[in-house]
Amino acid sequence: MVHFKNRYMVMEAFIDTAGKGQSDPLILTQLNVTKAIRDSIQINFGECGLAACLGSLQDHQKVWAAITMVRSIGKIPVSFNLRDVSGSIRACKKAALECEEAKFEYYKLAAGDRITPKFVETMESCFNKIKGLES
Amino acid sequence: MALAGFFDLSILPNDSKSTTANTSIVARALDLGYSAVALDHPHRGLLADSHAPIASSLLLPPSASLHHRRHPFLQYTRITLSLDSAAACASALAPSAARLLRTYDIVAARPLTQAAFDHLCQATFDHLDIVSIDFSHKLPFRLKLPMLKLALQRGLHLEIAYSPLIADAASRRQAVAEAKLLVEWTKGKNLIISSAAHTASEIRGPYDAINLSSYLLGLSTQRAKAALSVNCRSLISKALRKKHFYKKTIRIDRLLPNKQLNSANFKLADWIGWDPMPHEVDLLSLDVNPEPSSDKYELLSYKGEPQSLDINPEPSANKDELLYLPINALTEASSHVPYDGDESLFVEQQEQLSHGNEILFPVETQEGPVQVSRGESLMTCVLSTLPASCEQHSVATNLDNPGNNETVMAHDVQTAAVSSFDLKGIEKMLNLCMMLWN
Repeated sequence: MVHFKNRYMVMEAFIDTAGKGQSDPLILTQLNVTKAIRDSIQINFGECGLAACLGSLQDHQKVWAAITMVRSIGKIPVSFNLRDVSGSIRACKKAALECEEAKFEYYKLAAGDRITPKFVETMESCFNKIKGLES
Repeated sequence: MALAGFFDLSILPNDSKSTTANTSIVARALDLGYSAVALDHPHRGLLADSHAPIASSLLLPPSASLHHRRHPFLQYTRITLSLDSAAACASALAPSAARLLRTYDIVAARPLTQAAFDHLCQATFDHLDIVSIDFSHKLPFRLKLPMLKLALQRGLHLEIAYSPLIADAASRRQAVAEAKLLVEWTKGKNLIISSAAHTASEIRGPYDAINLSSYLLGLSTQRAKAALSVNCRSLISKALRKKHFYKKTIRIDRLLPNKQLNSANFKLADWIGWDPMPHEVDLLSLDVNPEPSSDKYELLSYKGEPQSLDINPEPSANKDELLYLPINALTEASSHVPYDGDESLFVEQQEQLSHGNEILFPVETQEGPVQVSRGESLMTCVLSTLPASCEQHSVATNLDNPGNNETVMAHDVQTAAVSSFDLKGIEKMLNLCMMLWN
C-alpha cells in the first residue's frame, strides 16, 4: 500500500476587470476562493464527488479539473492557472516566491518612478506571508 | 516548469472588437506558457480574394519581455471552413481554391452534416490539415469508426476544443459525451486539443488543459500532453512543408533585392531551427559555405571548381548554436532571444543579398547531397554560392524531416540518407545556379 500523499498546488489567478467597467476590484480571500472551488466541484462532480474530495483530499486531479473550470468569483471573471504542483509545502513556497518576485520585478520595470512606497510595503508583506507558511 | 513547447492552434480573434481585445488574448496565451498560437478565421461559404488574412500576427504588449524566452513566440494564421455538404467540401477544397488557402498557414474544415463529414474523411484533399468538430452543440452527425480510421490513415488531424468544457453546464455535458467517443476511437493519435477561445478568460494554461482533458475525456496524461505539443508541432511542420516546399522537401526561398527578409518569410526557418524537444527531433545539417573566414567549418576545397566549397557534414558541435541559426531572423523583429554575434552568420548572409531577383531553384531530389550522422532527421542544407565578385546571392535549401513516424515524408529524402556526399549533385546545382545568374 502506497503511503497517502498530500498534493499542494500553486495557482495563479487572472482577474479580468476590463470587460465590465471598473466597478469594484475583486479581493481574493480564502473564503471566496474556497467557495468558488467548492461550488465548481459540486456542479461538476456532484454531492458525492465533493464529499470524496473534502474527506480525504485524494484525487488531486479531480480538484485540479474543478479549479480549471472555475470561471468567475462573484460576478467577476477569474481564471486559474497552475504554476506548480508538488508534495511538500516547501517546494510550493519556493515556486510561489519565484513567481511573485518575477512579477514584482517586471512591475517595477514597467512602473518606473510611479511605484509608491506603500505598494512596495504591501509586496514585502506578501513575500513574508509566503515565507511564513509552515513547511 | 519544463519548456516543452505548447501550442494553441485555435484562438478566435474578434474582427469587430478592437485590436486590444485580441491582443489581450494572445498576450494571455503567452503568459500562460504557450509558445505558438494560431489565429483562427472561421468562414462559411465560398472563399473570395477579400478573405485573405489581413493581419497575420498581432503585436504583443511589452509584458512579453517578462518571459525570458529562448524561443520566439510564433503566431500562425488559420482558416476554418464550415462545410454543409459533400459538394461544398469538394468545391471549397478544390485545387482551384488552393491559391487562397495557401495564404493561411493552417487549413481546417468543420463538417456540419453527415455527408460532409464522410466526404472529408474519405476523399483526399491536398490542403486540408485539420478536421475540427464542434462539440459545443449536439453533433449533427454520427462519428463512425471506419471513417475516423480513414482520416487517421491519411494523416488528418482531429481537433477537440476545450472551451465548451469550461463553458456552461449544457455544452459541457454535450462535449464530454461526444468528445470522449472521439478520444476512445482515436486513442489520442493525431488528436490536437485547442482552446477555441473568444476572450482571454477562456484560455487555460497548458498543464491545466492537459489535466482537464485527461480527467474528463479519459486520455492518458502523456497522450493529452502530446495533443497539445508534439501533435501540433508535427501538424504545423507538415502544413508548412506542403505550402512552402517543392515536393515537400526542398524549400524555395525568395530572395528580394535590397530588402531584409521579413519575419513572415522566416517563419519556416524558425520552425525548422526551433526545436523545443531536442531529444525527440534531432538535427542534421549540411552547410556548404563559401566563406573561408568562418573557422568553425572545416574547410574542404577541391579543384576544378571556381568556388571553394566548405562542407560541414556534422551538425555543429554545439547543438544550441545550430538551433539558433535560423531564429536570429526573428530576433531582429523581437529582441527576446539573446544571441552571440557568431550565431548570426546565417542571417547576415541572407541579409547581404544586395542583388537578385526571385530565384526558383529546381533541384532534383535524388542527388541526395546529404550526409547522415547520428541518425538524425531534420536536415538543413544551406547551399550558398558567391561568385567571387561583388555580386552575391545565395540559395537556401532546406530539407526537413521531423522525426515523427507518422509524418508524411517523401521517400526521396530517405534515399538521401547515403553516407557519401554527392559532389556531382552540388556541381550540377552550382552550374545551374550560375546559368540562372547569367
